[in-house]
Amino acid sequence: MSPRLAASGGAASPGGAPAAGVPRAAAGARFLDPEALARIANLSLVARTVVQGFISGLHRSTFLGRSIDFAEHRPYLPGDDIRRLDWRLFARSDRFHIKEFEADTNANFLTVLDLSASMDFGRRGITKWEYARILAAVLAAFSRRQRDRVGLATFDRTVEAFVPPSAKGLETVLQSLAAAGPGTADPALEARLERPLAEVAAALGRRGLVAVISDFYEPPPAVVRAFDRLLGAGQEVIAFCVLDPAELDLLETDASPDHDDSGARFRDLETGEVLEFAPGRVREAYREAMRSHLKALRSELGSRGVDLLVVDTATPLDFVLFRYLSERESRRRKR
Amino acid sequence: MGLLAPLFLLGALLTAIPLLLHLTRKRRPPIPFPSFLFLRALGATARRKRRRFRDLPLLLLRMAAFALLAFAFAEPVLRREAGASGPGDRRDLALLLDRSLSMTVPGRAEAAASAAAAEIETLSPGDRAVVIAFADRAEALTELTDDREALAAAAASVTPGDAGTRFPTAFGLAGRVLPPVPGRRREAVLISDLQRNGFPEGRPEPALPPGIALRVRRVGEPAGNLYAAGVSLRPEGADRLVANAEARLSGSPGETAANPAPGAAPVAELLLGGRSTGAMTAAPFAGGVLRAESRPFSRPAEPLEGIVRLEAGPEDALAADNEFRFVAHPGSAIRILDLAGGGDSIHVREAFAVGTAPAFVLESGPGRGGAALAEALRSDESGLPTVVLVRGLGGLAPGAGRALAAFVRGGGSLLAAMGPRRMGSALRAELAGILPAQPGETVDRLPPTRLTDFSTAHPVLEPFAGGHFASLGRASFYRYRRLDGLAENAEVLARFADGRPALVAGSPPAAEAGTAPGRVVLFASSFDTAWNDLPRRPAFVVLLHRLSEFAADYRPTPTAWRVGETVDPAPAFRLPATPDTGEGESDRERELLVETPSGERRVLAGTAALRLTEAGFYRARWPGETEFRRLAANPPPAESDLAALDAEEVELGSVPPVAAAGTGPTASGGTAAEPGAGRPLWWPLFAALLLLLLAETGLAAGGPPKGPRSTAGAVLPGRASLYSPDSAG
Repeated sequence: MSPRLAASGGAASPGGAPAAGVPRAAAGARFLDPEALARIANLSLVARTVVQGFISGLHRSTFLGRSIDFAEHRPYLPGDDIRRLDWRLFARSDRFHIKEFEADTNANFLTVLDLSASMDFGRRGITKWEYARILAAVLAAFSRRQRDRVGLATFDRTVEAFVPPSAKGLETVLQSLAAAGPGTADPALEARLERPLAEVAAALGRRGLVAVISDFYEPPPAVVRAFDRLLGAGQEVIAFCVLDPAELDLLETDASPDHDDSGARFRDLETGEVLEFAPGRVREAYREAMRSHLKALRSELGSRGVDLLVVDTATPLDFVLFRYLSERESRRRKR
Repeated sequence: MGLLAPLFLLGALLTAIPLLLHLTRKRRPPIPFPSFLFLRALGATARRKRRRFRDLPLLLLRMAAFALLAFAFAEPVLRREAGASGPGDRRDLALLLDRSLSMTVPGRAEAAASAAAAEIETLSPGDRAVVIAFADRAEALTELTDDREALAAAAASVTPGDAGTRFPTAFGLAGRVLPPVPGRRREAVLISDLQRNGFPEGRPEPALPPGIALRVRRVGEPAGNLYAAGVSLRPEGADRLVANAEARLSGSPGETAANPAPGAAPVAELLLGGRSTGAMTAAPFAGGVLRAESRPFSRPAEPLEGIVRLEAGPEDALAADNEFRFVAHPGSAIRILDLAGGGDSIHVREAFAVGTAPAFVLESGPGRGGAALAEALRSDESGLPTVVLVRGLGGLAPGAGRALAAFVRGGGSLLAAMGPRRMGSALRAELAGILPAQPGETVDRLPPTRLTDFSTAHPVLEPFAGGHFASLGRASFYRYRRLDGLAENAEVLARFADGRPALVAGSPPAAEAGTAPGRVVLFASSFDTAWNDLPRRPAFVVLLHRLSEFAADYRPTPTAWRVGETVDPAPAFRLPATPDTGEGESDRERELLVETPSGERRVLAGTAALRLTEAGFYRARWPGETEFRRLAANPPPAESDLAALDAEEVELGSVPPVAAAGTGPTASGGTAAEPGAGRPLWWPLFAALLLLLLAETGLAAGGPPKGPRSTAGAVLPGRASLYSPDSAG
């Protein structure tokens, strides 16, 4: 595993200056290459590595819960609030330790992972499916570290696997993730998001946080309808839209000049349909359509209190985790 | 620029191969893409752009390589075109006009004259030319001059003769009469029917000196020809001869074209002394050869002119070679007077029955009595050289030795084999001084002995050199008679394995001045199978012929010669060796009067050779004599073959290679060798092809990468804006 400076995925500019939209806390942090993570078979190890690296990189942690229930001690790190020093322990051991507490309440955290065939795409050495799986594992591991009860639901046309949130469910979640795989093409498939999300909503009894990881290749109204099922069940939802850089720029960096100019045959992973076109001739229109799509999703979901995080597979996972926490914290403050 | 093998240009069609390969696209599997959600909405076209060539530079390189390969195989050559600018603006021109016999084919001489006149007309002011007429030899008819009238007159005076064609002589003379002059380019124009036989081995050779460009104007077309190839005389008995003639066909039209009546043999007629003896009996053509035989005619007492004349059809291209002239000499045969010691010998009879040059006339002797033998030797009126063959020398009757001794001393020849009877003292006394060795006692050999030591340098045994007729050495000799007491001038031609002489030759000393005694050859064994098995072997015939010819001092003289040959007049005309001049001059110190077939008279010094330039009968005599001796000259047979070369082939093959030109005399420009005509471009083209292939390899290996470009460290334009909350929101 080779950590590297985050310089891709829109996290930072080539010069190292923080890019627009990147939280300040991320500047100067070391992120992990998703491609390198994808080469590690042990999903648990991957998740633990990302989470621990992420936590140790946080200088001013404001995300751990504060409650009256003692959780644990940890060594003092520069930047920690000295008011949280355990002086009694210092008197006994002559060492500084920070006293940490359990969060106020343990919440349910459910990751809903899209296994559709379109997720099995990747032109950079890692597919969207692999990236999403690691992301789901990282989110689950981090939430468990927050003392949340973690669960998992995977779906294609319908829910494939469901792990109810529980305090000891992390290993089950990771095993389910390891066993899962992308689906196959279905020519008759139309709307595929609404039904599984409705099933998930029905299965969840307690209110909690639901992270939906998908590429959201559906018209925005269909996506909104699907999310309405979760929102209607009282769930707090956050959406991760995982995309490959090649589908963002329509193979601008991948297609050969010959293909780009004179055309080639392409196959739709969702439906199996084969279409012949020249990417270079429709790229601008495609970009505009993609931009409009994401904009509409962000607008519609935002109006319902759902945050949409668009990440590409080149984005470091810990950076995505950071954005997730930022979104979550801001949501908590709003409440 | 010319092409030696233009058909190879069809190989340029191979350029279609890379064309098709580059036009064809491999059917690749479709590229996976997550969703056509937006593409469908955009109406992305399913139509493909017009089919185009892939890797156009590579395609052009490969097509050029194929085209170059085809061009190289077509063997392009660079040659100077007529009128092309050379080192100088003025030119020196050699007009080489063919006047060989083949130019007598109707229409050829006229066409050659027209071509020569046209070439002279092309001379510009300042140009010079020389007219060279050639057949087997070349002759400059003018000097190098700019006088067009003189040149035209010289060209018009060229008429075909009877000689053969030799192009190298014309090229050599052209090189001598066209010296390199600064500012002038040299050119030779060959006007000929381009007979293939005009070049040694039928192929053009670079005989033209370097620096001279060659142009060829061919006249006439290849044609069929019937010609008389030769005549041989075969003796029919002692005083009659039969002429055997051979006629051949050459050229493309085949037998029927030259045949007056298809399916029938042409008529051959024999003329002797200018009078017809009637048609010869001809066999049908077989393999392009016709053989005809005359009726027997009397052996002439004096040299007699003979002509075999063929009557060919109108399609026979060349009429001048339909006659074959010969001279029948009285002495073209050897008379063998057989004094059989032990009866008739079939081996001896059959051995002398074959052979035409010379022919052998075998006569049985009158018996062994001396008087009868002397009478037979004196009364010979055949005029033929006579060899007395004695089989069993000891069996001669008393008196016969005396007759033989006189015969030998008078110039006669004796060939004697041993027999069972021992020579008596009387016979030995009669032949004293005549025999080169004295026959002694018989020697028996069991196992048999062989001939092991014989000198193949001697004319008698020359045919056995190099292992030919090896049966001579394998012959077994069970008995022979010792030959002792060798005379001073005796020569041992062969010995037995035990070292004793087997063949001894010699001549008795001249009894008186002015007389030349004949030769005597002794064979230690017998000429029958009683003492050896030599007569059963093929070598026996050759040995007997050679012994007879040597004994008779026979010198073969052809019955006919060929135009172009150079002859020694005295033996060729069979002039008398010792004419009685009364002044004591030898042949070599006297002059000879020669009359050519056209009637021209020449006087040759005795040492001068005579070059035959015309077909017909030459006549010659010593001054003071009235009787002419004759010699027949016929056109060279190679000239009758009218197969011709291609003009371009001659142009290219007669000019030396460029490399040779560069080391030879400087060209007309005076600076360096001219770019030679026929300069091959083969190797430069292949060098270019190699470079093309190298370039193609480099281009194919160093093409643009087909895989995806790396995006590490780069921010893709417009991508961040797609999912950035700021831009999206």
